[in-house]
Amino acid sequence: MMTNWIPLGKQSEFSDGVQRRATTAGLILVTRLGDQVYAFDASCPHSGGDLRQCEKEGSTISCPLHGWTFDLSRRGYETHGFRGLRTYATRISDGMLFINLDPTVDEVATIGSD
Amino acid sequence: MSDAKKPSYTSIFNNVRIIGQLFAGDRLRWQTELPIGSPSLPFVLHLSCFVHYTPHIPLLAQRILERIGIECPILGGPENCCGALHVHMGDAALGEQAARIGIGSFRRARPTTILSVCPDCDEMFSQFMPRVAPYRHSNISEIFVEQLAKLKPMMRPVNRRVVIHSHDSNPQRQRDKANIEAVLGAIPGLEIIKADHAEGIGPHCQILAPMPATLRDAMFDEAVALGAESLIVPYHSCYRQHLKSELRWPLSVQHYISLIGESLGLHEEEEYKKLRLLDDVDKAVEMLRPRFEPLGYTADEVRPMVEWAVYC
Repeated sequence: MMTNWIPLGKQSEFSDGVQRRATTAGLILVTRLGDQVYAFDASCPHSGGDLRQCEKEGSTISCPLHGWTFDLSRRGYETHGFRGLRTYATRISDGMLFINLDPTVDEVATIGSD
Repeated sequence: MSDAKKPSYTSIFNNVRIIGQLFAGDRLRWQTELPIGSPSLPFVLHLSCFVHYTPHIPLLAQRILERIGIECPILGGPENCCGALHVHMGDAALGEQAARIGIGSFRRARPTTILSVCPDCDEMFSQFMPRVAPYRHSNISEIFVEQLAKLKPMMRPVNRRVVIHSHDSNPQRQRDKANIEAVLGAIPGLEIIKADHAEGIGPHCQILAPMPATLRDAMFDEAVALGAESLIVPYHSCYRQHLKSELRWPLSVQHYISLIGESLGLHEEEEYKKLRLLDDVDKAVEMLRPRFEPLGYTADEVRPMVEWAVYC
């Protein structure tokens, strides 16, 4: 069932870097960490820093403005205990990447899982 | 700075947060933001990123101001970065964004005056201040001079011969120099010795542009020859750079705010100096162990941070 899943584009469009897409929830960024594909808000919850310029390390991304660090494998938990980053469930189906805006859905797409 | 040598902002800010917490313990109380709707504050002391390494400076500044009836909460942390770090790393646009965010954060606190102890913060925030400034941004040396009539009667003698290290690369730094001389000149018993080689280069002794060794040697050699017992520095960055010279020259290195504090009978431990003068990273980590272990950090995590912050 793909109810409430929104297509963002072909899986191949998200092979590297940080990609930005406009959705009804606003601007969303997509990035790969290892084989997993994560989607999250484009702006840092601290002061709106552009997370396209984020620094990546392991399962975390950091805002370059003030170093708030979000663990994408833990649904955007801020590692110093500040406000977390909103993340979105991802799924790959028929070579397309989908996200789900429902915060209760917890799913992370793995490349090659289609 | 080339990208190959460029440390990540994540690691720098993480270092500031963790080392700052370990050094300050529970003595230094500061906030990353003030709640909307809080009453307007006459003064707010801005704690810049790397001043977290030397918490005795803002602590003493706050206590000195309290002595003269000025309540001064501290707004700090990387959350209030002035953006100079980004500029030094070659990211001018990010630096401007950080400075504007910082100004917005101060504006929300509705202060009359933001006090700074950092020359980089002075320059960044001044550069991006709105045309109609929502508050006054001032280096703290200005306030000490403005309040000297209140400070002076409280000053006790400090019988010491000192040379003052200074920077005069721009009008603000020249004002700081004059202010510091004026305030220290009011301390009974303190003898300020004029020196020819005590001038630093640039706005302060930056990590990326330190005072060249030949100039530093000339400054310390001259100070010793003149019979100085202390070299007094104007900024935390100068303090960090020069205090290790205590291992080589027979005089102490002291921040001017510490000296004002001393004349008022105020003292704060200088953790940074203690760790640096051990001249041994492993011993420094061991000294910090009672502070980092209860917080769940390991020696392996803390060691590179100490190395970077204290032994750089």
